[in-house]
Amino acid sequence: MKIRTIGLLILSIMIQGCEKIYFPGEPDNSPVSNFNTFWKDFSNYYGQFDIRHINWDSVYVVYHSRINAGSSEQDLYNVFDEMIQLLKDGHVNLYTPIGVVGYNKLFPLNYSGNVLTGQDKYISFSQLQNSVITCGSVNSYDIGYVSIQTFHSNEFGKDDSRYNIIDDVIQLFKDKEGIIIDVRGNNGGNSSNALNVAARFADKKYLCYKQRYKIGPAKNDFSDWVNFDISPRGKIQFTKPVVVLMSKYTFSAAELFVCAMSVFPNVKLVGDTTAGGLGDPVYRELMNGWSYRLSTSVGAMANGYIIDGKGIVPQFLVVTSQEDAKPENNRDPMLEKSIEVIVSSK
Amino acid sequence: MFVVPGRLLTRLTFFYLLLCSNVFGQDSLPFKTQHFIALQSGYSRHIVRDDIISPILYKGSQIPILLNYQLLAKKAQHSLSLYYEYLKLTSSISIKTPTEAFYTKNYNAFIEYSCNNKLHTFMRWNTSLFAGAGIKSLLNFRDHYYSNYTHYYSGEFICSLDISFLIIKRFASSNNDNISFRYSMSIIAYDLLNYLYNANVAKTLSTEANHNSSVDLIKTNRLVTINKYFEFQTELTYVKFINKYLGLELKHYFQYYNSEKFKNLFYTKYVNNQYLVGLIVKI
Repeated sequence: MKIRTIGLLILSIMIQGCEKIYFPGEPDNSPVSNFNTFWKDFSNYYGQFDIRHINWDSVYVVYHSRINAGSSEQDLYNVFDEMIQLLKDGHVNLYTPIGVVGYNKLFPLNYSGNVLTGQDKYISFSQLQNSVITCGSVNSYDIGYVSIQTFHSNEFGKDDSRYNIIDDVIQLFKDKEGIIIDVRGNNGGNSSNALNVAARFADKKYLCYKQRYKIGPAKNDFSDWVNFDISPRGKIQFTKPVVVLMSKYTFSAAELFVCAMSVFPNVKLVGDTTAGGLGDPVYRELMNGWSYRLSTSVGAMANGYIIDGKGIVPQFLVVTSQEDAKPENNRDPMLEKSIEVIVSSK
Repeated sequence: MFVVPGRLLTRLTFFYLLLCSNVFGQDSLPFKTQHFIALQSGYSRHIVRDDIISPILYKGSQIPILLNYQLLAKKAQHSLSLYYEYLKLTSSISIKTPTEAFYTKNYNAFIEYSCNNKLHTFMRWNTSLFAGAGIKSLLNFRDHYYSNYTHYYSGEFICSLDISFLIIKRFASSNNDNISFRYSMSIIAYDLLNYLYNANVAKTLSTEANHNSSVDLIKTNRLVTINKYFEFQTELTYVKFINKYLGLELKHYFQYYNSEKFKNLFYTKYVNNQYLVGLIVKI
């Protein structure tokens, strides 16, 4: 009996001891292995090679030869930086102790999304505001002005109640001829915050946007397009003329906001083309403790126009020149055009 | 990969259950139905390779809690187990900066019921052989942190129909001291968090863009067989009663599963290895 008992105990310990057989080996923490992991993750999961005209296999050929067993972390960082720049995607980032890498030409150089240096010239601001939304009335016009600086949440991935102030703003502006919503300085955040605000301007249910997702390692392993609708939310909805002010700085969730607003018949888009990235990034990590994120989806407007890599084009394209922005001029042609659009829509 | 057709699997399952029915049971030993409750704890070791969140193994240890009720009848053994554990998994990544932190908050729990019918008793060795089936609901939920600000959810919530085999060797017919070995494996399972990686593709979610999708995640389910979800567990248990009603129990519990996720883009491999000691009460 004792022999059998001991035998069973040994069998049990063997099962425990062999736990390594259940797992594939981890990648080495070497420059070459980390390079290969990084490249392969993008090859498997990144969803925008085609629309950004990138041959990722060629990228491997070019950059793999620059990494060897003797490469330093700085060498690896530099190579990853160059590879990321090729993608021109604001949702691709590398996070390291050396620094954070992102597409460094996503936004125009020296461009401030908030081009107004003296907004008082145009707007009389209200006390109704918080850290994400401010509002006011356009001077000399019966038009409301709402600036949404961000769609970020206080807590990652969670809806943020600060955006519910939009209900009070709409209540305040319900008798105005129209509203200008300024997202020129908004570079995104949580898409649910963006859609929650947009839903306050819907008069009924609309097809809002489409996305398709990478669902396999092969180049064309994509899901079908998934349609997303938007329906009215909030106590009251503002369905009179609305202008959404956008710029090259408008990115990610802010672009989703513009996209959603564009389907409402009472909304016009004014400003400059947006940055071009809906993304849906996921995070990955390397053995050396670096992490990175990459876009796994492709996003399109309700009419099928792909936003990623292109941006949303406004109906009224207006460019603010350096001359306009000078303090002595302090002109905001985008805002002026917005006022004109609302007045002419009466 | 070898694929078992669903209809064939169903027939094999019913055949197996028929095989395990009492008609094949035989035992000439006198036996009175007994009830046991056991509470166990000890040391557990968890290893996860979740391809969705990392190419790196994450490991952790904890003190688990396992509650078990067992009914031992003349020709059958019924068991109901509850288990819960929360732990932090870490990897070989040693980088530590104010913002970078690589770890996983891991919640483990299961509830399992199994019924094993006696197939045969080897009188010479005082050993009985059982076979049967069970149902199990298993949750392994992971909240993985890439930094103090960025985290990502992954996990498995699986309800499965299992088959099991049990060998019990009693040291003397007059008392309850025994050693037993149990092996069980899932044959068909209902995977409820398969699309956690990207729930939108499941096409079962509301298409309302600004709806709260957390409730809908439970709809992103699929029925999987061993081709997509291979899971087994073993239990080696030694019971020694110190008086008529109270005993000590030593147990080694081992669980492994491999779950292919999200149309084979990802997989999760998981090991739960436990050494437990506890009290068992005969009621």
